[in-house]
Amino acid sequence: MSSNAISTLAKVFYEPKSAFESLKEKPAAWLPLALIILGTMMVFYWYYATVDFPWLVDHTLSAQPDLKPDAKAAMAGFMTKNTMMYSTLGGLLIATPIVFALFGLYYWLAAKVMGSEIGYGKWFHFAIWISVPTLLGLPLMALQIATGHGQISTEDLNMLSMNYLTVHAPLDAPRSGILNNLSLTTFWTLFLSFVGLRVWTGRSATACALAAVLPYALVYGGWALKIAFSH
Amino acid sequence: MNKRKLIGIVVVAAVILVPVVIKFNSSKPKLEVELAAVSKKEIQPSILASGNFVFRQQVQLSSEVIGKVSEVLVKEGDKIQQGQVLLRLDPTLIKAEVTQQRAIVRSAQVNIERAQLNVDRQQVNSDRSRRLAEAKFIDTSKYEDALHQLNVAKVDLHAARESMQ
Repeated sequence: MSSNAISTLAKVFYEPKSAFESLKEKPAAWLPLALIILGTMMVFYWYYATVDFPWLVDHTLSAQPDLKPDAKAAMAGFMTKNTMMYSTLGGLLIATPIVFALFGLYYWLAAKVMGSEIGYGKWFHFAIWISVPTLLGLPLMALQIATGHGQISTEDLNMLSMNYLTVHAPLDAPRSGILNNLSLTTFWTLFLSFVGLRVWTGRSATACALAAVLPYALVYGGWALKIAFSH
Repeated sequence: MNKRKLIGIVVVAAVILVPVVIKFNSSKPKLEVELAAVSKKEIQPSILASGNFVFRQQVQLSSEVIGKVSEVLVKEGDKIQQGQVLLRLDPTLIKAEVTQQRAIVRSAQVNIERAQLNVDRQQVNSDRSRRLAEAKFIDTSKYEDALHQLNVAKVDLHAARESMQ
């Protein structure tokens, strides 16, 4: 199972159509799920173990100049090294499968609308397989930690984010949130979801592209509109 | 198949290498500054800070004699003058010692008186022995014994006087 899963994992990068064809019958994605969760947890553990914590607190608080001194003090009091580390690691462990479950639910509903009879469980695994490109970000995060001399902010950890690759907007800029969240791997995941939907449902390219783009268009489009209208 | 693999490897390599190139080619600002909009803010009327009191001059006081303190005449923070009495020692032990020393002195004076009387007596003895020896009533050795007793009495007197010093 594992050698098969490893070859499928590699195939997702260079031959996604063939990978999804082989995954249609046996889509178990426990290996990529474990790699994504454990890899990210290890990187964040390393990050919080080595980061210059007083600097990180100052950096985070400086992004909120409008905050009152009392609120700032309360926030700084909450931001202890252990609190931040364990809440992040716990959050990763719990939230990652939940996010995949929600994406699986969406693809299951979208496929049902398109007339597919594939069950929810397979779409849950599908959501994990299309997220495999996020693994490429982990060695880059490790590079940032290793070369950052302890003064790397959480938003600069992801070297594949649009903010890092393009404008380098500061943390308190309105667009920094969406640009930090939108990553090169997001587009890759979007492309893989399109390919996967085509292979698994057999519906038209337009329908599959629409189904693939819709959740991202709603989330990031809505976010962008909110920024545009509030500033 | 091989061509697709090659494209995949190139894409993966590009995804990893592009941010690395951006990271090492971007010039960092040499001086980081923090900008803030001009606004009215409340200035805190008090500043909390911790510190230590230090003495400008510190003097270690010590008594010339050892004794129990019976009375402290100043409080912490009082201003004092040079020569002012700060505390009193219990005089009971010192008084007892003075009484003892006076008794020793009296005893020494009695010893001196006794030695003086002895010298006087030996002087009389010596003079009489000298006259008798000159008249050949006694041997010269008797006179020498009396003279020796006089010298011993003088030495005793001297020793008694020395013990008074």
